[in-house]
Amino acid sequence: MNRSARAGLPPLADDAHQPEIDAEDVAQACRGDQRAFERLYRAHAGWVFGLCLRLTNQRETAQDCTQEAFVAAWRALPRFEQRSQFSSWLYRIAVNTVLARRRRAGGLRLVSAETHAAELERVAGPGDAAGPIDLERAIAALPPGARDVLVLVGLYGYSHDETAAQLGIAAGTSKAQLHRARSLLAAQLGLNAQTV
Amino acid sequence: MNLPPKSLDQQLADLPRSIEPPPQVWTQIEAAIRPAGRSRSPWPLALAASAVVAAVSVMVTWKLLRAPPLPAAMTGPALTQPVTAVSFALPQQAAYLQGRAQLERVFRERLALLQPDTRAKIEANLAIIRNANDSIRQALEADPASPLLLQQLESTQRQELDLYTNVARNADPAIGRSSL
Repeated sequence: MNRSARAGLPPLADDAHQPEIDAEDVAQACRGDQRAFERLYRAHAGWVFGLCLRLTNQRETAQDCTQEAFVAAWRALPRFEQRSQFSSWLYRIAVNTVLARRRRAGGLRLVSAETHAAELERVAGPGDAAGPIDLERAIAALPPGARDVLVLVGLYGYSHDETAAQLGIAAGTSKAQLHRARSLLAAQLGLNAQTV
Repeated sequence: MNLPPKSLDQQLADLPRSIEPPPQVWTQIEAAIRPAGRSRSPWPLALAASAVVAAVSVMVTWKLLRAPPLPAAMTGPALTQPVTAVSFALPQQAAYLQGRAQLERVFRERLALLQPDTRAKIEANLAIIRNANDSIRQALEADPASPLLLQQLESTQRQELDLYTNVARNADPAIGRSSL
């Protein structure tokens, strides 16, 4: 993932915890070493699951997508050319897995914002009622197109070009959806123009 | 003194990106990749076999349909409707399902006009195509994002539609090919 694409946005809170690329583990996993692949899983599963959970709004579906993405990655590892980072490649597989599941299901599965926030609270632990859970609830309540873009660009640092390519939309549409998402979030959270 | 509210960007940046999945996720992944291992993964072989048998099946059926027509005359109002090709689309789409159902109905009607041996062979070939389709669908369960598998799925579904269309057109009583 191109972190520099977050121009204009603050650094992510857990950038410091973003898993480092372990080239040796990738190389060993490419040769069929399951222990090396498990180390890669341990390093990246949190990001993949967080991404899937926010895109699907459903814990069980997010678990399934996480599982499918890692199994797909294991099978595709021999074709991984290491021109991009392993993490970028893996997260792209995870997003594709979510999108493919949506297509199979015939579209988006709509889950209430309350359900989504409860799911996140259950996995992340109780939070400050006026803090992140409110924001998670507001994100979950966004219209699907706007939420997808906010999650990919605003949370996980994808560029608009990358997001557009993954979602099958134009880059301009991605930018418009992000603007829409931010406006809706600001309104829901009661933020004024100075704090947006 | 009250602190100013955090900006939206700052609040977004404060959200944890990483959320640990429950332990059973790895257990399931491990079970999925352990039994056969990547080099013995079942889907490439199934995929190759499916593609080959489906291609052979279509070729055999095409040759059968190109054989000289035998005399027979069975006509009826239900059998004279024009046959149009159905364009491929994702199976979830209602238009695709409706078009396929319509074409399959005409195919069944026209199939009944064929000689028993020919009909049996075409039905056997259709079964081969459908088995290939099922194999690819099973592989997609394990590897749903694979563009190769999705392409193969589209290919076999198109072959099935082509078979319907060929039989329906070549056994059309309105153009004197009521039996093959």
